[in-house]
Amino acid sequence: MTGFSKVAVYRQDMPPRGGYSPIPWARVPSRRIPLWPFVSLWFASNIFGYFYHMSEKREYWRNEMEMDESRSCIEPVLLAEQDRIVLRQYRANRDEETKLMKDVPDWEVGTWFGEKVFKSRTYFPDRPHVLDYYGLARPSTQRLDINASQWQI
Amino acid sequence: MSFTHDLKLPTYEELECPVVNVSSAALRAGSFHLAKYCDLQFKEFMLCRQEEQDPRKCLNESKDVTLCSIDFFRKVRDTCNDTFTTFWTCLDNAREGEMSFNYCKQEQRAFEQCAKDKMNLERPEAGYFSMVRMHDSKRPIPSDPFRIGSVDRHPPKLDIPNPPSLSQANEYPEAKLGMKFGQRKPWMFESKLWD
Repeated sequence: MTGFSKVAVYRQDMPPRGGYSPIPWARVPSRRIPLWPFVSLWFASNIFGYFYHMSEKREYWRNEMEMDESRSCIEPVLLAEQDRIVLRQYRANRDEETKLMKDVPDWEVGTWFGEKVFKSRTYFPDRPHVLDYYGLARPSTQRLDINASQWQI
Repeated sequence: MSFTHDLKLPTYEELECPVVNVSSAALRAGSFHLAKYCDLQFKEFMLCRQEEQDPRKCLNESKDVTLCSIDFFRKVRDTCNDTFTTFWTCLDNAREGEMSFNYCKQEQRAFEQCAKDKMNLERPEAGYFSMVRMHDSKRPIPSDPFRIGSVDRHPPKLDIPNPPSLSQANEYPEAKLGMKFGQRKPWMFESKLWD
């Protein structure tokens, strides 16, 4: 052929001498930590914790019982004093009512113009009623028993 | 307010009694030993209260209770004052504000030891006061504490008539369904099947 007297010199991009290194294509499993220490720890803590929890519960309820028992031991002392205070207040209320309603015609002490609260002859309340106790008191004293259900202030 | 003059209320002289001049923490501190010391009076009072349902009738027992508890606290003050005071001040300043015994176990043990040694009072075991305890007293049993009288005085009021018997089947045709199935409740469509 004509016109090809000079040859261009270039460098081809060939693989290296000896060929390429082998490509790692096999699976590489990830780094793992073992599960058995954790499972065994959890299991052991469950077992020990069950027994410990049961003993703690017993101790807790023993302490609660102790507190309840101390309250019931004290109950007669407080009840005795409360009875006397309440009876004193009933007497003071009745005297006060006679004084107040002296001039009102047809008023009988302890009744609503003759109509009794308790119809049977011999009833006496063993627990004090809020109205019996605070009935003739001033509002600031009445508000002391504000949680009583029969109150309408 | 609802007490007429025919009701007998006790006079101020009858109600005179000294007061247990002791704070709530000290009461809680000495509660077990107090109940052991004054056991008889407490049981008498509570029995009277429950049977009679009337505070006026149990005045003497209540005075016994108060006097016995005052006596107990005087005894404690004479013999075991230091341990008792530390114990109830510890309860008063306890962490949660509930006067619980959890936070004062040491002081409690010291007081119990002192009570055992000097006053010869042993605190009963843990569940003693929760159990039902029997008491026999010389007081006569009241006959009618709730003032019920006889049933004739307060006859029960029933607006519902008695159900008819089998012999009255012809007079109550509307009751025939119940008689057919006996005591059984009719199933959903059984009542509709009956005409």
